[in-house]
Amino acid sequence: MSTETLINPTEYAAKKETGKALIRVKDLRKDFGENHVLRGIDYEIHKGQKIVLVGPSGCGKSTFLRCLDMLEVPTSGEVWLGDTKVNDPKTDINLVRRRMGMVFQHFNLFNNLTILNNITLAPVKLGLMSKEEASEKALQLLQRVNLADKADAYPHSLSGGQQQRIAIVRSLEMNPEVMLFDEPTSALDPEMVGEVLQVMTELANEGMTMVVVTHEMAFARQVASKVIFIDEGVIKEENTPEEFFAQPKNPRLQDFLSKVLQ
Amino acid sequence: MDIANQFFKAFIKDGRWQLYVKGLGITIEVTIFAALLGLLLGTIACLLNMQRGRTGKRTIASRIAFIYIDIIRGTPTLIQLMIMWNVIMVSSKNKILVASLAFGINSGAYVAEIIRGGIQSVDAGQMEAGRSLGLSRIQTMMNVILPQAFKNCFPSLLNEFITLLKETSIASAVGLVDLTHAADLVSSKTYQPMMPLLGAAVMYFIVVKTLSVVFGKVEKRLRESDNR
Amino acid sequence: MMKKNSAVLLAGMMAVSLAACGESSEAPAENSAAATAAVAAATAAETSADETTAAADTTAAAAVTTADADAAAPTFDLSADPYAGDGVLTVGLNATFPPFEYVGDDGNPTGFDVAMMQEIGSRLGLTVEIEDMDFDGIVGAIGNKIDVAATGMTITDERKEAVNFSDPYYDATQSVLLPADSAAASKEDLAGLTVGVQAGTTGEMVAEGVEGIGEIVSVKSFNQAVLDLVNGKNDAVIIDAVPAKAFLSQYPDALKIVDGETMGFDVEQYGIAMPKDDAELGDAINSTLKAMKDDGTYDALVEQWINNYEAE
Repeated sequence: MSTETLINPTEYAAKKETGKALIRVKDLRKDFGENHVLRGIDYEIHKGQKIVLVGPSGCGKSTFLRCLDMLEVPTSGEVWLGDTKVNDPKTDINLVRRRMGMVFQHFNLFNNLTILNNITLAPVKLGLMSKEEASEKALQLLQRVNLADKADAYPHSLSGGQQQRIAIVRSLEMNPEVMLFDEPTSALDPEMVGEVLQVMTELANEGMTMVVVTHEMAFARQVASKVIFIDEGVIKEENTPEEFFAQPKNPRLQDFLSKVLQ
Repeated sequence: MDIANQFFKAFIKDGRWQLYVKGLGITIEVTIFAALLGLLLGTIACLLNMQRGRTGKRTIASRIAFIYIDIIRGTPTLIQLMIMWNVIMVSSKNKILVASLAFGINSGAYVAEIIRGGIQSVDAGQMEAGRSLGLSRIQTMMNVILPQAFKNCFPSLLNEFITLLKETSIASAVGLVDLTHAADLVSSKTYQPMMPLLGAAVMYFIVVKTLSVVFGKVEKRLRESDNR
Repeated sequence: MMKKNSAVLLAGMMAVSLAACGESSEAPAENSAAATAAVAAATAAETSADETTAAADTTAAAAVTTADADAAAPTFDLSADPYAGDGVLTVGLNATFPPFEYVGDDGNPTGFDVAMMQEIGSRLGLTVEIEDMDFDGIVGAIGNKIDVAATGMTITDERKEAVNFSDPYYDATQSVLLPADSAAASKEDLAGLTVGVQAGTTGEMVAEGVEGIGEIVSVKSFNQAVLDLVNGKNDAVIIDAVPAKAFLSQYPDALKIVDGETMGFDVEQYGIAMPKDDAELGDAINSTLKAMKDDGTYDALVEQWINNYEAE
């Protein structure tokens, strides 16, 4: 196992540590027309935590995740990242998003750019790093996930698993405070799920704050600090993975788990 | 051999073939200026037209862009040319400039819609990924979306260019001696329109065909880079 | 909301363009068909204050006309004619040439040539249909799209190679329309100037014959050429004398005319253009023209349509 890391754990841990939670959500509501998807969610996520959301499709877990970085605009309620109110119209959302990384179900690598440019585009265009610095860091990260030889390839020539690992790297290049994962393995062929989960696990072990929506229960059991069950737009159950999976209290959760766990 | 005589009067006599060549040169010149202007205007208008403010409503610039696209597409090019010549640039004597402007503005409206189609055919996830990295909408547009959009709507853009080339013939209404007008002038001296018109048609066809072949090769190369 | 904004803007643009383009004015709206009813035309055109003289003239003219019409006019049977055999005489013209042909208030072509042809048609028992088209396409269209053309067209040797012409029906010279403050007074002064002409006209030929002429801008419509002159895009427009006066009356303060004689242009004659292969039609038309000249109808038409032309 290489001694290089995806993030610098000590540096990350030393980052601004206040008593306040890193992410705070207050009475979060989201409607799509007549459809009330989120009906008042209150939650706090602390630095270093790995929060995993599970539940049947359409329960609102992806919507919740996307509200955190305003890919969905909350109908009402508050979302806070540190001291910044994320869904305040006066907030510059572009600045907020630099502090959060998002990994999508369908990877969403930039099809017209090489892998290297995919990773360096944002930090260079935003003036955060020079092209040289960004490239150097990008290659290190690619090395870390064993894809350094793909730096000049285009996304379409890579497998899903490779693309997703690169997508994770692309987000990490920005030194985010928290990483959001929206069903990162749901679109992958089974044999590639493992390689992506492995990267995520290592990232978790290095201390990254993570919010993950997934169906991969084994991963949740292994990595999560807390597991959340969202149903009918609210949090119905929230617990440590041991309690959550062994002793589910909510009947719908019990039903769900019985179908999902083998 | 009446055909031979007609051919002679149409092309050889008094070195008339030079009129066609000069006319073709002007046609191409106006087309190129107009195409470049149209591409620029069209891209800007398209982006502005698609822009929405915080509340989701159109901004002022967006409204202006929409009106521009709406009106230009809704009125005949000839009228736009006449307005440009007789009203907007009423003191200009430069027919090439006026024609290039009028056709450029005209083309821009159509290019805007073509590019909009191209942009909308790019997966929405591309914009989401760009935005979630902290890039602005414009930055994502310029670096990620537009390059893909242009590749997508390349054939339509070529069609627009070809249409533009042939449409410049209406500029004879303000006295611009393009290829069509040159043919007209010759046939008004010989009273035999067939040869000059055929000759002009052949020249247009050759230009269009050459363009199609060249663009086709470019498109092929773009597609190759997409192949898995 | 958007559609309304667009509509208002569009209406505005159109209003401005129509105002600025300065559509050529129409003559007093006389129905030419009614006017050409032989004697009635003469009476209507008379502006003389002396009622009795007019009345006397009328009766005299009436007597002469009827007599001439019965005795002198040979009858023509055109039912076998390849062009007029269908009872319809299709007449081509380019209605941007007042007062010979222009678009009237009712949107239809009107003017001296229209009136003249309708008189000829009625005397030959033919219905006249007018085709308004580009001037430079008219000669080529004789014998297919149109039967004949009466469009202020000068008789030239080159044109005679393609069509027949009737006897001349009007003498004309080219004039030059100039800005009111122009110093040009002779053909030589046109050197180096930008001159507007209509495509295919003798004005264009005259321009081409001027030594060292600047740019010759040939357009399809005299309206556009004169508009360009008023807007300073041309330095001069070469156009026949009578329409030149007609255009001048639309822009009395901006323009002036220098006539062809001063300029040193040749005198030209208008003829009705006809198919080369139809001598019978040619004879019929020439004969009718002569009759009209003899019985005063021709003069009456000139008086009404040319001398009394006023821009609106």
